Amino acid sequence: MLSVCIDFKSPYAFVAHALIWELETKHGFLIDWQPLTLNIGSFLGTAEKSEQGTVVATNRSEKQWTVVKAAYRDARRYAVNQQRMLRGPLKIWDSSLAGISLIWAQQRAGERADLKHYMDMVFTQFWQRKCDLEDAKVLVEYLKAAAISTVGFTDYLEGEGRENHDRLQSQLLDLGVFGVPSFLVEDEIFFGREHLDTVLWRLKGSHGEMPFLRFPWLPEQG
Amino acid sequence: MMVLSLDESELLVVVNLEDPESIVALYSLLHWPKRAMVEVRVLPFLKAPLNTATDVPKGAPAFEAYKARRASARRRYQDQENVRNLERLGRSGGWEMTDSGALLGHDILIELFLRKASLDRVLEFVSEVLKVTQKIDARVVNQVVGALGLRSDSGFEDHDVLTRRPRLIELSEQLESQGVLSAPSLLFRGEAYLGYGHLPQIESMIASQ
Repeated sequence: MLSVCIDFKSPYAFVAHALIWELETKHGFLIDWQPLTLNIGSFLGTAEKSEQGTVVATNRSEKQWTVVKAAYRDARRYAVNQQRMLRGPLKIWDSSLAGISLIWAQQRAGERADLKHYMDMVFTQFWQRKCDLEDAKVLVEYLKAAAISTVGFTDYLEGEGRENHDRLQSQLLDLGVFGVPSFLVEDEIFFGREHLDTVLWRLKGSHGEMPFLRFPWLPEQG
Repeated sequence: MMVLSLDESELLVVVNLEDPESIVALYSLLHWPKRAMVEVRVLPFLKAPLNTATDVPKGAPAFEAYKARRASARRRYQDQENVRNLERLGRSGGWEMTDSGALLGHDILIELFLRKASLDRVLEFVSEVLKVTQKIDARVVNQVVGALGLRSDSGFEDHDVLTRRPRLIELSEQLESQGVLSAPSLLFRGEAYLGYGHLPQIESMIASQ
């Protein structure tokens, strides 16, 4: 059993999601997608920028800014290499609605390709600053565009979906999942897309030596 | 103050020998296909692991509780990752590089760097240290230094270990000013890359030049 935890507002999840899908589409291991809604303010502080990119409010330390800038510089290298646009968000989003929509989409998608399409749309549009993750109406439109039923979705967001989401956050933290993307294989956790080779090695029975870490760089893979 | 001259055409691998992942990073270079095309150098980095959460202002009880739970999750994860890295090194749990062992080991890495030692020489030193025992202290590192004849070509003397800690700190500050935030990291063409897993990207850059 393979579970993968993501958060649509994570740049690392964004540059990883297409590669992670290959575990299923190329290697045949069904993925149970789970939202881990990060409270970024709790470990990197908070910041808000104007449309022009000027910081208008922040409680971040110099060290936190250094780490945030390094993270975006890194994620952007890989986004560019995948020919994806990655524009830094102007605020720290509450992505819990989008996370709940992921649970919904996974349960309701008629085809796995529909779920993949939905996730790709949300990721791509969000990182182009075209998707309001906090607006249920926007998520409904994306679900429809991915041919996923939206009947009862709004109620789900506020009721059962919210309960499921919040319970999941607690369960994941207890397991030791603290960031995204994370991979759960049986009771083992792998954090970061650089573990993809090792995750696949585990899924295939751990034959031979454990691979080294490797951030997938597409052109080299052909 | 010690300032090392770094050549941007070389690949600099920054390690902390106390962390198994750094040693794995060195081993990953053994079969790196671009080794023949680019000079690989190794330097130590002595900074506490990154923890940006400590800078976050105190918040409401629920917020603080979340921070504590997330920190605990992170520690539990790190334990799993350490076990995997030890497995990659063929070692079992309980492996330890003591502070004195790391200090001496890092000092040797600086000396090897200054003397433009090959990556093979660095790997020879590290792998010999790993072979000796589960708990690697200054005595163990010293044994290896002697056995490999590094003392004569490193200029290292037993008595001045403590006097050399400041240069490790100065070096770490220099690397930090060049964008290195933690070990292992890579530094190539003036850019820092967090984690040794970025080697495929570096390969691509070398191939496209």
